[in-house]
Amino acid sequence: MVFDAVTFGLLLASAVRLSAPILLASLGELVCERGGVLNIGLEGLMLFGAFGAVLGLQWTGEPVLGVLCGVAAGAGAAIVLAVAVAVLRADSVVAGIGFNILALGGTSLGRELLLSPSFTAPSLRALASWRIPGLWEVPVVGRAFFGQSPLLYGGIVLAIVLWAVIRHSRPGLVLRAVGEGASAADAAGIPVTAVRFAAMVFCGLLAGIAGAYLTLVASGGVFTDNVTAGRGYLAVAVVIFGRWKPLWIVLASLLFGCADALQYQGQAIGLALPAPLLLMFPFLLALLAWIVMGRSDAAPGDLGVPFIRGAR
Amino acid sequence: MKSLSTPQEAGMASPGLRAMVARIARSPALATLAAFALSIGFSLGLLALLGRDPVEALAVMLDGALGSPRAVADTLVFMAPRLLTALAALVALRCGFFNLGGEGQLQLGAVGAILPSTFLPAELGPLLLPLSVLSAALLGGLWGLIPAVLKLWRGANEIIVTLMMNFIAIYLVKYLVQGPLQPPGSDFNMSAKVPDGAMLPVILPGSRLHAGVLLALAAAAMVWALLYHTAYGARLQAAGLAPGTARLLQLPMRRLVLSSMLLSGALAGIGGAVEVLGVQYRLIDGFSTDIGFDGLAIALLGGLDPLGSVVVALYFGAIDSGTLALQSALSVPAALAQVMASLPIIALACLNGYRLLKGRPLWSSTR
Repeated sequence: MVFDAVTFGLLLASAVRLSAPILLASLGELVCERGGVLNIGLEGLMLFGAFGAVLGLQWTGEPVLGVLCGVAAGAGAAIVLAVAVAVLRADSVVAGIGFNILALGGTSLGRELLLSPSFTAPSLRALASWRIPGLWEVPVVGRAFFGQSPLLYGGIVLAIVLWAVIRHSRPGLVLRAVGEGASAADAAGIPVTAVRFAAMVFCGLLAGIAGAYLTLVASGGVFTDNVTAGRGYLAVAVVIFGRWKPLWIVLASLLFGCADALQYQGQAIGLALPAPLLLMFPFLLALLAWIVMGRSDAAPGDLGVPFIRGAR
Repeated sequence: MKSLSTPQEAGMASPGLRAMVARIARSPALATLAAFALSIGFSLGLLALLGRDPVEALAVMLDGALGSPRAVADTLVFMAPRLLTALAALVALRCGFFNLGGEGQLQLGAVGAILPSTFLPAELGPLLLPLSVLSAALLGGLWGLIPAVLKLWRGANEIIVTLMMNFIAIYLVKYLVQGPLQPPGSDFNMSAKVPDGAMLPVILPGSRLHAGVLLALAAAAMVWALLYHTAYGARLQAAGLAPGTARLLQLPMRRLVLSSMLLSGALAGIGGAVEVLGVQYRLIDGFSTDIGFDGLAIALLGGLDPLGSVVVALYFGAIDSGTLALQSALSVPAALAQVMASLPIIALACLNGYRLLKGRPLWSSTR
């Protein structure tokens, strides 16, 4: 293994860069799960966001408008899923798996019909890297932490805001109440369905940004079928490993970003493994984490249980 | 409820999931029919949106799926692996274990199907076929056993674990066909062709219809007999529907979970073998387009019943062969098949949830 300062800096920069989509998506999933909805459809929401962002970029030529289109696509898809899960009480795992297949087929259909394969993307640099003056030149860690996408900085700020809101504010209390015991929250006059609906749409917004990041920042404005490649499922796992706490989720995302980065930087640090095994690594890590950490009691009490007034 | 669960109870899915499985298992045929009607209507609307005449498109699809013996053969060939992954999902769900890992178990089965041809001499001839199917069942079964062991041993959430293991299996296949199983001098991401002796024979000359279809139907009959006509099947259903009572009767819960997941993985593994030995004749990266997830949808739409699954699997096979015809006749992208396959299960989940909301669940384990 080669492990000098330069390759380490590159690996770190790549790890932080790739942790962003997982971080953004898992923060959305966190809000859902704290509200009692196990949103397995996250993978599909990200996929719609990724597709919407490229579509917006091709239509307008503006990276920022592309991101906004991705957010709109994620939120729009989330409204459909929330009607099924939050309003109609469809089982979130079954509906979510169906929704993910719908997203795979729908975005692939959209790519063939609506996207131009010969489109040359405008410069996405403004979206991809925002160099913080002064700090950016710091050796080794400068590029990794101070030369990243504004979307990533936004994600970290959001994690801190979510920590404060969930823990110390009335809306956070309402959200937690709905997730821990929907019947009790209902008896206290909290509109359970509306809270869960809003949580899922918020999750869709963030999944949309995460998807837009994947296509616009991480792959140069190109949409390929199944571009998320399981990162939505990883984000669901990250929420569990982060014990449903925003700041732990930041750390867990970084760890998974690191695992993801090995597919690009693995050769550089002399990790002479074939590419598919490096691609497998984040999923293997998630499995190993289960074996090491085991079951947690931190899960919201009503996670995955549809709310029915009068049911036990 | 969750925090009170004992280690023994950790073998079961959460109460909410259990209730949902019970509801879907007893959902009336009417709800399922409504789900299909809704999704067919939506698909035709989508076709109209794409600028195709829906009536013409429907005619093309029906002709491509059922219009000639060859078309029927194609539909059955698409049905076979999906029926096997549906049986796999069904056996696990009936025991209360939410196995979302059919895709991974299918991938491992495909690997298992190719191993005897790789390491044993081709002179074994037709002996290679049963060996390949057995090895597929074994590898798929062992892959299915892992999440069950993790659940019983570490309390791991089977939904997350099986989803992660799907991706591990997919990348494992990618690795194998780019490395150890790639024939020397080849640049393609596929293994060598299996010898004739390992192939599932074509049973209708001039078509693609192979013996794997019979294998899948036989498996459905066997699962039916096992569930409804053996003591083991009764225990399995009891463990899934009423775990409290089952424990009271001192049923061996752990053994039931482990054995049902072994069986489930083996069935999905045979599904992989059917695709490899009956259609592709080699292990190819990306050979499965979500066959495992299709199986889960089929099992639920079929009311978690082996015979119901045969009917629904036939519908899914018809979607695949019909959209292929649609692609060549009206140049509609084949991704439409995924859209059409995903709609009925979403509709059924909504219909079931709505019935629950309106206070008229036919049956609920929480009552």
